[in-house]
Amino acid sequence: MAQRVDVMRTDTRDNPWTVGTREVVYMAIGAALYGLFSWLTTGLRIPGPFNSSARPGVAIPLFFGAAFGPVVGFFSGFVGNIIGDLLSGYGFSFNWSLGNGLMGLVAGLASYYIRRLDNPRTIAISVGFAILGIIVGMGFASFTDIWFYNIDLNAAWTEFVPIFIANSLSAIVLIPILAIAWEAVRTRTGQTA
Amino acid sequence: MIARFTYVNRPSPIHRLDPAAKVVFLLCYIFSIVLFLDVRALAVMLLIGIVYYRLTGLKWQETRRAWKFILIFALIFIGISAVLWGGGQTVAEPHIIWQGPLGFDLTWEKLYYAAGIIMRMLGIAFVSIPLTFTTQPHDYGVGFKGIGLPDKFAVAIDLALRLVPTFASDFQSTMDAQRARGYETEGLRGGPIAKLRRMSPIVVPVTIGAIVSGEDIINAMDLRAFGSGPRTWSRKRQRTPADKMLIAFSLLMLVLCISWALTGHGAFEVFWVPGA
Repeated sequence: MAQRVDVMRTDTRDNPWTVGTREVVYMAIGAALYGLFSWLTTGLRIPGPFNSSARPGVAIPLFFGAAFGPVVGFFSGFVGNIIGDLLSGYGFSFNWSLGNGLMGLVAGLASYYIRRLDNPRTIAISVGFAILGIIVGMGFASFTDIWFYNIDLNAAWTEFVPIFIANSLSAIVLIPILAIAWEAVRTRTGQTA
Repeated sequence: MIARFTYVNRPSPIHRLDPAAKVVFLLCYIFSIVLFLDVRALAVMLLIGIVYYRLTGLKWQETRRAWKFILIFALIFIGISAVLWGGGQTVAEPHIIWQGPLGFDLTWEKLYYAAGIIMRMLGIAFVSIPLTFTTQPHDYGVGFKGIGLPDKFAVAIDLALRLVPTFASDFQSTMDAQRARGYETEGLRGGPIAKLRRMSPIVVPVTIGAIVSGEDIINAMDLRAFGSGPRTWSRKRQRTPADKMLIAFSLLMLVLCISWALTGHGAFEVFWVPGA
């Protein structure tokens, strides 16, 4: 019977807000991956007047938040969205980048309740926080468009709802798959952080 | 697959600016322009945006993709919706231009409002589109360090931008490997959930591979005592007088706009109606 040996934790993850070398590297990896996947799926447009696209890559800041903490989640979302803009040529959107960051940050608050993503309960908690993050982050981005571009409340809802649905589906489908794959690798390589 | 940043190399004054100065200007401009709905105030702000954009020397074919979206969004969606509904501006005695069917009235108030929000959106576009086209990707980390961002975050920005081409190459290799196993990369069939599940053979290996390879970077950085003290940078960007002037101008613009708005100026106003 396979037996997993957990090595005593000596890293910085006891405080979810601490940023050490590990977090810096995961922040960079999360941002690069999210930017790349956002760019690759730019063509999956959500029908409507807004410049919104269905982003399977949105699972990256949500997963990185749950696995490595809220700061990593925020950075992956915020900088990743900017990198996606850098690659796609759509210019720079401050409130949407910040919204993506908030999405990852709220998803990362799951790390207060879970240490590992190695059973259905902890994965369900991380998906729950991810959906909460999508509501907060995409809600922030959509509804600040009222202030930035003077769109009305109905238009903001029209913008928010399809993005919420598309991102939630990505979270529900991809986070568990990523979590299972990550835990398998982590156990095999003896990583505890 | 080549992941290419949209930077356009050109010897313009905006290209030479510190990215931090450009971000400060961008934020001050956005927070200033959203204070107004009076087209006269917006015209001044739009002029500032146009001058800034002209200084970049960017050509239409380089920024066409961004502008096509902005123009469609601003003129068709925002413009038409503003003309139809007037953005909820209630006026006791509107200046009617044309009375249409189904109780629709085209008024000067609606036209002023539509013009105002289109000008606001175009202004934001004029200053935000150039950022990605005029800033070298490897300047972001050093630039943000320059405005006081902690070393760790500046390094993370730098590292993220350097990792993008590596991960793009990993993505391509993974896709080729999956194709060799019969994975369909074009025209994924099924509903949204099925499509997402079918993407996992690409997304998961690239992501997990990236995290695992991150261990080598972490070890290398730890061995060089990353985070143990103030960091030095191999490239330094001296803030030029032009950077300082742009930052000073941005802050002054923001203070003036806030003061002007707080004294009751810049709100929606129909100041001139032909023939009235």
